[in-house]
Amino acid sequence: MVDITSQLIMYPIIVLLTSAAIMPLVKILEDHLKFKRLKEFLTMLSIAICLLSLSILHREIPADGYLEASLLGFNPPFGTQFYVDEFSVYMAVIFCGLGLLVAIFSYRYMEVDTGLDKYYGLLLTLITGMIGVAFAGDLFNLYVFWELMCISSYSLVSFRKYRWEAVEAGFKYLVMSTIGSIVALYGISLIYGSFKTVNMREVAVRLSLAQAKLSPSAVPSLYFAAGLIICGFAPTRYDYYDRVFLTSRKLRYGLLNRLS
Amino acid sequence: MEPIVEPIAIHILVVAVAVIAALVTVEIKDILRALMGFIIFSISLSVAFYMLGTPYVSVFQLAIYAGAVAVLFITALHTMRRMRL
Amino acid sequence: MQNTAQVQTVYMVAVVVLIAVGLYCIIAKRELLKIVIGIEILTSAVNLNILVMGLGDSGVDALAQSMAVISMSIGACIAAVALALVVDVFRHYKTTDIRKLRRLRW
Repeated sequence: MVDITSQLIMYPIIVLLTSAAIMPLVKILEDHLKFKRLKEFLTMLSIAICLLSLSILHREIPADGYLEASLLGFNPPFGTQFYVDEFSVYMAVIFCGLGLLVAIFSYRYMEVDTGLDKYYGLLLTLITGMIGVAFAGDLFNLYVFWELMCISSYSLVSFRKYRWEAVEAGFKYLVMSTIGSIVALYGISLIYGSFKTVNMREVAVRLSLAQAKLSPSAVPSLYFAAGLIICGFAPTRYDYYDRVFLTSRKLRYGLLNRLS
Repeated sequence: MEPIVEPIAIHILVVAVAVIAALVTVEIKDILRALMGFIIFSISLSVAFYMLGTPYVSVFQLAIYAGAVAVLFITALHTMRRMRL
Repeated sequence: MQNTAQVQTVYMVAVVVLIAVGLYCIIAKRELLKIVIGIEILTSAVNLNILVMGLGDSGVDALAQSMAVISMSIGACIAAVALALVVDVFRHYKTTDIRKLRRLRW
């Protein structure tokens, strides 16, 4: 039997992914209606439901404890797993709130574009990927949600493909970030080879158990794997910070121009 | 019970074919021939997967890399060639 | 007679060589499609590494097989997005030379 708390972990991800999947159907429905802004409101509604379920999830977490959900029949050291504590809920609320703000901002900003159903679907999968990265309990799950986030952000960067800046920036971002995540996957496979599991808590337990009798030749390879993972996940983050910095600078310049 | 039945020389041979196919893919000028090298690389990796005792992954490798990705490459090439005219 | 450790060593060396070839392809080649091919070579090499790392005394672990299949489909997704971007780059720049892609200044 699946208890209700482990289902509760899946609700934000299920809601966002389902509404991303039915977005083209909503577009088809919208063509027959007089009201043309159904997908915007569906996006905002699903993110709001996600925030609500996150608040319920936050209440369910025991004090200084955690919740976990795994595939039925595959217990943590073998299967993939979600692991939720206070900090992951905190991060997920930040991502969801930012996504809600972006959806509200896009209501007027993306008015001039076509293919908005794809835009909102990609936005929802982007938020899903970020929430999954916060909720992931093992390294491979982390990689899968990371790639979900990365692929949707490549597509979002080059969404206005009639402009050369967007396409060039998207291709450069794709090459850099993909090399990074593949290098990280190589590190994950090395860690899987040393411990025969990818579960993060299990890896930590086995590492602390094996620390005394670890052979000296095994230590550099573990450092190598950890370094590969850190270096692999870094480029995307760097790009993000770059982009955030850029956006803020442009915003500041725009405000200064507007004021003067 | 040993899961691997082939002698190690065959493993080395398959891996050498994969590496040589990858090198040919990288170095050759014509992009369509490079694609043929990539297909040979995928097929040899699929044979390696089969010899490791994972036929499911081997079929996936054949279907996705030697099938879908190669067809995607050919489609992109065709689209670009038609744009140039 | 051979054992699994020897086979594992052979494949690990091959993975390192393939990763070197893929990185060389991405760094040194100037064709956009060659760069996408390099990304695919890297992904295949890492898939091989996942399977080899799961190799035990009674065949490959089931977790390793499922991980390899999922990572393979992610690699195909990346190839699709990258090829769509390559076609768009060609539409704007009329070339697939990477050296022409330096108009972006911030």
